[in-house]
Amino acid sequence: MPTPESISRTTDLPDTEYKWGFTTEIDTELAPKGIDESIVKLISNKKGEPQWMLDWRLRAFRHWEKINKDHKEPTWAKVNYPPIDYQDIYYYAAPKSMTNSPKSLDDVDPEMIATFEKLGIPIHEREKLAGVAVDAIFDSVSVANTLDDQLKDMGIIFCSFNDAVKNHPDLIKKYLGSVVPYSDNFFASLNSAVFSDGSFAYIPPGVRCPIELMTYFRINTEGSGQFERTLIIADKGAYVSYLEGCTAPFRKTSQLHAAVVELVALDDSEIKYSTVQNWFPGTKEGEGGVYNFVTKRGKASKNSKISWTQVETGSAITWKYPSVILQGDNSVGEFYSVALANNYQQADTGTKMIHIGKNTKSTVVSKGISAGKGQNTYRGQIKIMPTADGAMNHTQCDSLLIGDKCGAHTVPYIEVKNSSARLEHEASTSKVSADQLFYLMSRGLSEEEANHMIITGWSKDVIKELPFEFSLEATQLLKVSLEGAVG
Amino acid sequence: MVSDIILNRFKNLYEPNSKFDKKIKEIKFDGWKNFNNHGLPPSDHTSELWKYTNFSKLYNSEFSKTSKKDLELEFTLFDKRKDWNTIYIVDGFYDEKKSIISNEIVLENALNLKNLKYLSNQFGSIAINSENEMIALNSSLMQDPILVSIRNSNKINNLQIIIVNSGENSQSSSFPRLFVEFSPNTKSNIVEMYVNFADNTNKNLTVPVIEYFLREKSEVSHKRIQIDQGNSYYFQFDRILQNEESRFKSTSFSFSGLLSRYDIHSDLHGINSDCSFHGLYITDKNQHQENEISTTHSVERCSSDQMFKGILAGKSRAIFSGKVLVKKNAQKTRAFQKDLNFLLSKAAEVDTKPSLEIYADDVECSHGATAGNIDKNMLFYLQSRGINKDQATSMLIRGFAQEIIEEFQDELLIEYLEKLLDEKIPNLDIEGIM
Repeated sequence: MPTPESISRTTDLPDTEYKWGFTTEIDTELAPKGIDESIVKLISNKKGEPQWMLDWRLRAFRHWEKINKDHKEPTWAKVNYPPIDYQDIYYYAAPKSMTNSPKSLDDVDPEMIATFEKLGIPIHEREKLAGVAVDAIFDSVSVANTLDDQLKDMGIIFCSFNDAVKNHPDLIKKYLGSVVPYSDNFFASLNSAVFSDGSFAYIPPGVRCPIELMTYFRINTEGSGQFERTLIIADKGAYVSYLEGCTAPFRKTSQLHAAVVELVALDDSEIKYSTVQNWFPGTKEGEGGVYNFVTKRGKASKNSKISWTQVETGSAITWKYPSVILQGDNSVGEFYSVALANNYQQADTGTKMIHIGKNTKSTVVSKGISAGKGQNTYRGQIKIMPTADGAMNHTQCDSLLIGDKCGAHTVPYIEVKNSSARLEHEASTSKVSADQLFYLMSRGLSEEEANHMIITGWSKDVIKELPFEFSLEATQLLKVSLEGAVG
Repeated sequence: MVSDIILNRFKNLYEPNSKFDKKIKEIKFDGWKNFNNHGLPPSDHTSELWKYTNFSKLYNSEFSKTSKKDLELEFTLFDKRKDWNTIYIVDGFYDEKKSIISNEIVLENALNLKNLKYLSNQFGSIAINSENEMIALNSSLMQDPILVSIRNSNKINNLQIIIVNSGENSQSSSFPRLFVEFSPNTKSNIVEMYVNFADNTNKNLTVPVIEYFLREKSEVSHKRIQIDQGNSYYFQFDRILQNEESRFKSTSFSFSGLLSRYDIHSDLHGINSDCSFHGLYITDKNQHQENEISTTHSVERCSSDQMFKGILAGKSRAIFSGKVLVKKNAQKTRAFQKDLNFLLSKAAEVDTKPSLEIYADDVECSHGATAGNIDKNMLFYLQSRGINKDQATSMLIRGFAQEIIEEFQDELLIEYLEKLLDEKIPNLDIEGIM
């Protein structure tokens, strides 16, 4: 029988550093730092955009300028960061070799391909068998897009946002800003003015997209912001599952990432949107890291379904509330989230479910893990409008605390304007139970392994919603991100 | 920017040359300074604390001063209890003639502090001016602050605090202020009640602030009733500071006026202390009732419990905002929070926000909230047994309310509230449902 002292507390675990922190040495074309109308025009010009697109950007920019002057940067979230100097950011950074856009993958800078290989992104044609179509976004531009001919035949459009503006202007004009208008909030306005690129997907009526669509985002250039814009449209009766992943190099200065994602689910369609967010979280001392200020929202028409699943392990600061406007009758919204804040990370994340249609249903499952000096806040709003007869919501948000220097906060807003609605909200906060730890450790697991096992089990409700490859990655990420937090 | 118009209106009520005790005068000055900096709370939803409050009506109202006067008012309920200590505060002034204070309780007003002078240092430290615009307003304009000390640890001390709006002046404003100290090992029953004699056309503003200071091992059973059929604005603040092993158990009942807010907060400042806030709110017609219920766990081994129930009818709106803050050193905390709502009419709205803010890891905290209509199955069950729909509905509402009513553990109050519910429930505006 080993005495308690003899239980080993060291484990063989991989390097705890952020392993996606490398920088790629490639020639980059930068617009001057700062933002004004000429930068907006320059970005639009670089992209060869039509006049209507530029006009939209300028409207957004003028709106942003106004709210920036009034110091209306949102301050209600439970996050602290030094003021951002919006004139000290590169709003446009593009790999030089992309200036003349490549015709095929062979034309793409091999350095860049190597970067994505290192990240394990199945970007190369030979990996087409991996069963995903990928749009890879490097700094501000889409560098590679792999789309099967089969998908093209089905009428599925999956391309960079920039290409969509040129090739499918009608769809862009109709849906851009229809879910997140340019005046929506501070960061969404900024994004609308200077967004560089992003992904666009359109699934035609009645088509079930047979493979997963995926975008991989990477920030490379120091001091640059990334402002991408994603628009996904599922036409009547269509289905699509979309994945999104992100990484950034190891930098001591903070980087701004302000993205906008709009989902449009028309009648009877379904969109499943999964994110594994692993932006650089900053050093253990709290230096650098990505400020992830993202607006994600979907609009669900009659009988449609929008489901958000997110695993948030990265970023120094996360400010993100993937939401669903349940506009059509019988529409369904789901939100599954695991958010982790270790070291000096701060996460203020949650969702908004706005019930407008009759018999709309929403489910919210949020798991927050705080460790080190991390601060994790769930902030969610469930709003039942007077028209939403028979609406239902179930919300469950649990928080886990590891160590006594972190914080876990829950701020739900439940607003009910219809008496036929049913709402349930439950939440709990606790630490990993000593009994469970003891049970596992008495069976030979180290404390770290035992903790990891408990946390994985505890997050299972969310992880199981992810597509298979992603759920493996997410479990590993949770493990790596929590290293050093226990004991 | 604080609007000059609003400041000037309240300036008319402000008396800088009061003859209060020096320390209390300082709190008054500090309150006015704070109010000058912040004014009334904003009405544009930008303040998290006042997110759902519509102050615009208040911005446009002008309130008059009240004066100390002798009125013959009938309080059938409380006059029955001659053996209770009773404090009447009429239009902001302590009514010495009507109040009953036994020699086991020390009561002094701020004009003439003798035995309770030592409390003047604590005054204003539990309800803090900088915390809230309306507390600052109370401090600036308090007409007759009263300090009380409860000292007898050999028997249960009974104290009623009756806050009265006489309705004598129209658009009057009053700012009752009390500080109550509970000596170590004392046990007390406190009943707080708000009575409004004003008619429907008379819109008064009442902002009472009561500070409760619980010393070691003191126990308080706090019962609060606010019934207001009139059209008044009412903002009540109960602020509690608890020392080691003290207990504060509160049960509240609100049947509110035009715009009312009940804000109770306890700071669990000594280890092994415990507090529970339970309550029931009923709103009808165009009433607006807010409940701001919060607990701060400052030290380890404390427990807290919040449970509120709401019944909403007509075009009314109720807000529950519960908060539990667990500070870094408050390990071994247990905190529970619950808010359950019955929405009885299509046009009623409930906004509930049960929030947790936790900085310690060895805690057990949970919260829950529900909102919904009467369960159709329950209604069917009763109807299938020959009870007509209206009766069955009333029965279910009564049953929902009863759990809180029974917690009053005071025969007189329970009888009074039950009678009130029997009268009111069948008359609630619950049209448009089911």
